[in-house]
Amino acid sequence: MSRGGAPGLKLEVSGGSFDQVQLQTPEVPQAVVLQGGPSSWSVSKPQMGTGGHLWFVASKEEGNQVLRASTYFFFPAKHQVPTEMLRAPRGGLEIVPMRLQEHGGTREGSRWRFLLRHENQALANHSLQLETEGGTRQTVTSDANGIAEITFPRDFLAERLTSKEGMNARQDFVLSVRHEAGGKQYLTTYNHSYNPDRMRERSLPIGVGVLALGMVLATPLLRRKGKKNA
Amino acid sequence: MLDRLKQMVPTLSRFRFLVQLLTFALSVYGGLLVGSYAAEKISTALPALSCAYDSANGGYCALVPLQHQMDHRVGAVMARAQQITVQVLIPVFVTFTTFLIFFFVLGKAFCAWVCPLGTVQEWLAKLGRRLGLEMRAVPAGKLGKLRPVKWLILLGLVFVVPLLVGLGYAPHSAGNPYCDICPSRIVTTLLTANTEELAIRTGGDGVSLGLGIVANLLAGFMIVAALAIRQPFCRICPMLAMNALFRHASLLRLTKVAHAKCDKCGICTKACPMDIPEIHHQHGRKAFNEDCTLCGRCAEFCPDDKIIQIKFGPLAVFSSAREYYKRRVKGETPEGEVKPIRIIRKPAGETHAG
Repeated sequence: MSRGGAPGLKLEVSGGSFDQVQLQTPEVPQAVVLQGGPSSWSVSKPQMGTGGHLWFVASKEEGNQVLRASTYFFFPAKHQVPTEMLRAPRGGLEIVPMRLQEHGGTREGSRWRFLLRHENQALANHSLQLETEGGTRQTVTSDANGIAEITFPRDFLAERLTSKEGMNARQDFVLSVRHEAGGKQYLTTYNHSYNPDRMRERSLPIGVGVLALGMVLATPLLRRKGKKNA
Repeated sequence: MLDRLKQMVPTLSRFRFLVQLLTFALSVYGGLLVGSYAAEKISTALPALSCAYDSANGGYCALVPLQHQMDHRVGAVMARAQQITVQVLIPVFVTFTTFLIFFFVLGKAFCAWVCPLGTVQEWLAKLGRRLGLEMRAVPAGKLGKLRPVKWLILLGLVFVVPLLVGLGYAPHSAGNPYCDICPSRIVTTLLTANTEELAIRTGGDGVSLGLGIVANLLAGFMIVAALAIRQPFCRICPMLAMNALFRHASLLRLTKVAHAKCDKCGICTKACPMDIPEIHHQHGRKAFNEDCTLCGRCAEFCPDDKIIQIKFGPLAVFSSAREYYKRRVKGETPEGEVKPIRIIRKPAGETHAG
């Protein structure tokens, strides 16, 4: 999905086509079906609302297979929190982030939690696959409440860590979950990107050393109180 | 009930300490208390609360968006030689307005009652007294050289350098130079067990490295200096300069009336954590100096009735009073030395039974 020229957004899907794309915003948690397809959709400025997180779900049904891809787009503005939007009942198989990132980005080594649910019911002890552009393949299992926790791996590709982008470099990931129910096979994905760990370009020992030097420079200010009547 | 409350909060300083504890918890650990989105909401509604780099906090400082707006909006648009439009001016205006609303109500009290770095420095000063270290006041003669520093930092690092970055005359790594040297960024994140901001950027360019070195030197110097000098960083903080601009428009303010005894007294300056001589020598508007943080210590330690007052609009919320002064100096000297509790041995031969 890419940001188009103002006003509004243009969404594009790669690797296939979808029947429809639905948009939810913190202001309008109920899904709105977007105009366009099968591989490109437009979001008008009024549909974007005042800002914040926009939640997109693309879906299609082929025979007994139900496919769904979800992601979000964030633009900083005075906005409502996305919790109600994320938890709104949608049905089908879902990967629901417990929290969406605002400033700072999702970074290597950070932990994020996702709710797995089917027909709005939590999926306990269910497998969730993580696949990253850096080559990591990982499977985690949801707990009794359907919550799966992912720790983003330190797997940034060397070519991604360009000096120009620095710690704002991005690498994509996909979470996927499969489920069978009512004779149908469900496959749902959630994709987004993550950023490098800031400590990749930082040195804690040097930081501590310089801090200590600053402390040493201030020590001439310290003087014991002279005893009166001594 | 009222008596119990008076026992719990016997002085203005104790009340301020409790407020500081609350605002410290909110501004350093607020995100843990109210959830991350709520923290973002506090940030949007009330800038000037703590640090954007602290992921556990309850808000962020007005100086962050100001630098970003200078860099990304004003500077970038001017660089494209386009007209400065409403889209550019509105965010800058909104940041200033939220800041002004906050300070129109609280005034300079932000510094002494809310700022987490101010609180940390105050606690370090108390620790210094407990360790038996001598307290050093900044001599009045040196204040003239020290006071312009905060204005230069505000102008240079909050407005001019970010603007130059937006215009393309300075590297992108200098986009928020004040935050890059701010000790609050390091101290408040360390207090949440996050060492990321203490670590220096060695993988960036020379500007990042240089700013990082200045930041850590400054933070280290401040931590130790605060043991001997009260509020060392506050004296050069651009936030102090920002709210100094609007201090006379604020509802909360300091007032002082002339009194014959004032010339010979000067306890107010001794009590002042910013060593402001004007509170001693001046009265009226001039007594409410640009360096004042509205901590109220001058009013607490003024030995005469209604000479120094903290006012909210027309209402005096605290007035100096002889009786209050007598009680106050029993526990602490104006300079902040806590008086030791004396244990007096009973004379030999005296028994409990009497």
